[in-house]
Amino acid sequence: MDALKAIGKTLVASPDRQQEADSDWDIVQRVQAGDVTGFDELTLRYRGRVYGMIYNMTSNREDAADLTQDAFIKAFQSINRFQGQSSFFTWLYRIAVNSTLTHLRKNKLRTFFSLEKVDENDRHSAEVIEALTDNSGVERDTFVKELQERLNEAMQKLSIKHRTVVTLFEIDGLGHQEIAEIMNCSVGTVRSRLHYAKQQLQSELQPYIRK
Amino acid sequence: MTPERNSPQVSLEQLLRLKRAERPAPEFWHQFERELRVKQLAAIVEPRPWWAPFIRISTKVARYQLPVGATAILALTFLTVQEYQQPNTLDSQYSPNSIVTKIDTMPGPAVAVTLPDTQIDQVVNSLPANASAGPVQANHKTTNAATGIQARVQDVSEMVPMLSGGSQSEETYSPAARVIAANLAAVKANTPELAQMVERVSGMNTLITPRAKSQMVDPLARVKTSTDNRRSSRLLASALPAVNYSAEESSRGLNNRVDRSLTEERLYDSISRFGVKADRVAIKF
Repeated sequence: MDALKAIGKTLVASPDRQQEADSDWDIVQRVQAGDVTGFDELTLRYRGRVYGMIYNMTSNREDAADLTQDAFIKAFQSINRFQGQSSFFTWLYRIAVNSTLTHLRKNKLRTFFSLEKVDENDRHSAEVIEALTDNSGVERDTFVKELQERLNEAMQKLSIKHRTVVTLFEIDGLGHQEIAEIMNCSVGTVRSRLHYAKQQLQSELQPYIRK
Repeated sequence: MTPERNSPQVSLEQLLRLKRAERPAPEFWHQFERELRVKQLAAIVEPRPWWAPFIRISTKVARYQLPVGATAILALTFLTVQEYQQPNTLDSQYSPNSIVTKIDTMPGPAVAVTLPDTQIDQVVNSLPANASAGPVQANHKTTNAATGIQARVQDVSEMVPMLSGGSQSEETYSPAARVIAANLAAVKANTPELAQMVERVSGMNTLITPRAKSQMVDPLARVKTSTDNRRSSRLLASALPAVNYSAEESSRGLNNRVDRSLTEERLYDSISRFGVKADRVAIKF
């Protein structure tokens, strides 16, 4: 068991992640011992990331909110079975991804966008928007809105598995190994899916992308 | 509306990272927290469905579905092969050799005893060395088991054409075969139940020689026609004169009447009225 835990922990990429994983494990042990308030800490820590991931996969804020709550409830119900073989974050993400995939498969035909507003205070997004709108002569707000719609449309055109890989890698910034662990597939599969998804996205978002 | 510039200046990765900036407002999290709390409490209070442990177990078992499936197929194959082999061993028990042995050892008025010892000795001397150790050997109680088995096989091979009414004359058969055939016929005559059973086992009805058949006495034939039967027949004949006709007489009379009433022409005509074509039968009136 300890060996498995060690392997699970070494799979976590950066030292920050390692520290985070150790801290999570301490809280999990507290929750398992009966301190339910510990779970609130975990919720507070990961709700933004989990919500973001689900939102980017569904492109619907209401669905994303419901699915995020469901993921946390499931994690809370099953936390006694969590043995620390992977980091809590990976385990929670796996639950969230599986819930989302089930939801998307059930509602394959229903694609209804309900988009969040782009936070223009974010440095990276401001740079990108600046680069795209510079000298274009179009109104900034209209351009951002349209870009957001095109981006979400392109994402929704991807298959569920490809969308998941792109979301986890490009938007959430997870490593190949972590994605493979979350999606229960090989790293090679992750790479191949990512490559294919990027090709498709490039053809969809051609007008915005540098060649 | 696409950018009007000729060369856009962002990569796909940068464009995708723009989605990170799609964040909910802080008020959203207040509501989220409230709803999560309610759901959490409901999850604690609500009893888990009774099938939940089974789902967990099936999920664990699903990992081993391939080896379990392969083992099941192997086991099924092994059982099936074994099942098919068993009838073969049963068939070997019903070989003519074993039947002959059984009949030979059966108590009862078998005709085998009708051969006197002197005759048996003559027969044994006239047979080749190997063939002499057949069922006849059972009477002499020879102890050579190995030669006995060989000879028994040979005897059976000699006996089978005789029992099945082959083209060979009865004189060419071995004495042992003749003794067994006579035995069989006698058994059939004396104990019909046993004979029926033997017939059921391997169609032994066809194995009996004409001579043996001639020795057979039908049990029903032994039953003498009683005077009561004759009397009842006479009484019936007087009461119903029409019954006096025997079955043969009545059928002959019927045929004559039909012959008279039907001319040849009408007969052909009536035949041609019936036609059979592929999947239909046509009748002309």
